[in-house]
Amino acid sequence: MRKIWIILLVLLMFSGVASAKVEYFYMENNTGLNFMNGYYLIEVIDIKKADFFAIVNLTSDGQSNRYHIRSESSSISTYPWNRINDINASFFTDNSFRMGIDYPDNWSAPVKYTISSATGTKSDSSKVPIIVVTKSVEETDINVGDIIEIKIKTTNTGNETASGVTLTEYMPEGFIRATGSRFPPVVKEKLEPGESDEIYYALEAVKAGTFTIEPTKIEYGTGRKESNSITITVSREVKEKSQLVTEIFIDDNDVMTGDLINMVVKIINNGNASAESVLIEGSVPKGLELEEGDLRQLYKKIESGEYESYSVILKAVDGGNYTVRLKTSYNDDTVGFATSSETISVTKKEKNPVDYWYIILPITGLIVGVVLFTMNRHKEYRY
Amino acid sequence: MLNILLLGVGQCGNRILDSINREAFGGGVVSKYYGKQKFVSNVQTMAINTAVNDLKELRFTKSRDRIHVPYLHGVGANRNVGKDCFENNKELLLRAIEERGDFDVAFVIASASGGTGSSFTPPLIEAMKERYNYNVYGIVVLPFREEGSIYLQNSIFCLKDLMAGSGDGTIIADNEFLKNLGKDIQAAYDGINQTIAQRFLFLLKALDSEMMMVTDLGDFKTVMASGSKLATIGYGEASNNLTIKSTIKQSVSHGGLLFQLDPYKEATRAMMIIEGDKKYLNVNDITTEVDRLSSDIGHVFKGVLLRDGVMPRVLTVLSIGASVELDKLFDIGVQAIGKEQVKKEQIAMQNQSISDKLEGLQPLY
Repeated sequence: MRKIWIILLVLLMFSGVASAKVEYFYMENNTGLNFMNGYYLIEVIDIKKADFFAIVNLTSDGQSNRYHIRSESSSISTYPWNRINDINASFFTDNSFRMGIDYPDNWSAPVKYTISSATGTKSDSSKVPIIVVTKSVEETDINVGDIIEIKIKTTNTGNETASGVTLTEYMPEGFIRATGSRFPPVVKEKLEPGESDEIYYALEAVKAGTFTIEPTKIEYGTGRKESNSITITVSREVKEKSQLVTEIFIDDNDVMTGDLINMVVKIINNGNASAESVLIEGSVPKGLELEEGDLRQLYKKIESGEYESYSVILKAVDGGNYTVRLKTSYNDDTVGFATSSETISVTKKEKNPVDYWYIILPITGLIVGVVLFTMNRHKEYRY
Repeated sequence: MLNILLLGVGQCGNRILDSINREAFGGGVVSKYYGKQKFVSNVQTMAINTAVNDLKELRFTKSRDRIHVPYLHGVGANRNVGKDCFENNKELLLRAIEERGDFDVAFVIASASGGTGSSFTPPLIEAMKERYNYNVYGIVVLPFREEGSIYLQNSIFCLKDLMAGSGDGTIIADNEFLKNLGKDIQAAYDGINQTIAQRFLFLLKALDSEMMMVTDLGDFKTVMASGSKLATIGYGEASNNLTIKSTIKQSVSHGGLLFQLDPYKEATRAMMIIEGDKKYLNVNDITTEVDRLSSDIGHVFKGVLLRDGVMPRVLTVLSIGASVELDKLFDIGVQAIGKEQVKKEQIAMQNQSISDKLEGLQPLY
């Protein structure tokens, strides 16, 4: 009795602070207490008079767990059953005992009911719908850009149809509605006893950080339930991507017309993924001619860290400064990027006069002929 | 095709021959280096001179066609010296001529007043006539009247020899008459030489061409043999609105002749060669004008050369009968001889006087 007074004293001490209230109920086997239309259930499984304890089944958020309660305070620390502050058992008889419950003062008074041993249905004379709503995701550690699917399961665990069921869902920070998904989700308006409704919606993570998806609020009749919240950790996107670099090497950048230039093109994949459909194309600038090979090359795949190379031979045909420009495009850069060679300086080669023999020879012959003819004529007329 | 020999004797003859050669090349300064002489006939030219410097100055006459008669540096305008020189070198010259082949006609071009030309031409023509069967004609240039008494003497004696000789006739051109062709003496000489050359080439072409109205070497021979065996050439060229009738008149006018002559009174025969496009040549006009000339001088041979697109031009060869201008020339020549005679007598008298004064005297030292 002293203990009770002590408990009462403690309760009085904390009553102003904890905003809780303590009530006592005489419970028999197969009876239970229903708080807030199924929000929290306490059901008596067995009474052990000899041992001064009782076995109860606590149900919250659709999850149940068994506890042995005694005359000492049994504070419940495990979520979600810790929604009540304390529970104890005393004044045992063969088939009853007194159960003290410390629960939040904003809860309405519980309704006692009888548990049907055969069907599990409540045999209490007052039928009530009991909605249990849970929220879950498959993955709580994701990257920016990932899409998560949120499952909301609403179950009517009561013995009465839940009507006018509505759902309130808030868009969490760091997410946006995924394309094609409905938001906010809509729950079935009416849930028969024992009926469940699973609804899904998808969100896309757009921001790195730790975000909480607030509990889903279900309202039905005069009842109101909330689901659990979910904490999601969103990491920065670490996407694997290929990155190509094209390099052009020429063996000689100062040449004469007619000279050949060996040009090597090397395509290196510096990315962390393989590059696919790699296309290199370009045109030979005016003043150079393609002597051998083809500037246009296509590679199906270049693995990460690997490279491909090819070579062409160019011929300098006209004086001037030229650069060879190549464009590289691939799956991760379909627009492509340009690469220029170093400037190739082509000097026009002065042709050897011997090269013009076909002109010089006849002209020389003609000049010599004219000179000889003139000299001969002059000789004819010189006296 | 006629084989024609042209001999230029003496400085004047050489220059006219050179001018003929130049015109045959087309007239350009360097035409000889690229051109070909456009003689219709087979023409051989020879320049003969005793002065080697005169031969050296020729530009269009081949060196092998220049014959130097070795006699110091000319005969000094002395016809007697020149005749002796010719006689001494006659065979040399004739051999040189014979080396060129046989000819149908020959022309000897010279000045009547100079040394070599004046003295060589008459005997050369005589020698050629004696040895060869073809006609030999002279083309002689008369001097400016103010050139001096020697030239005037030479001229009249040269003409006399030619007229009296066996040559087939001589065409004369008078520098005095043509001196307005140049602004100065040299230009006048060049102009006269070129004029004579152009007309002579026209004559050569006419003598060896197919004609619509035919005149030929025989007609030329007849014309040249008539009268005093002297003749001259007239020339007219149509331009713009000048009709063929006017062109014919121009060829026998003062401005078209090479010697001052009144054709209608002083010519005895004529040969007229007309060249040009048929559309310019009105036969009635030609006949009318030729008939008018014929009625005055006796007979005119005429020939017409048709040349497409060519403006008419007319060349007239006029044989000279009694000529006032010739009389004047001879008179001036005789006067010059008289003056020379007086001078010589005066000098002889002076020499005689000096001899008389010095008779019996000896120099004392």
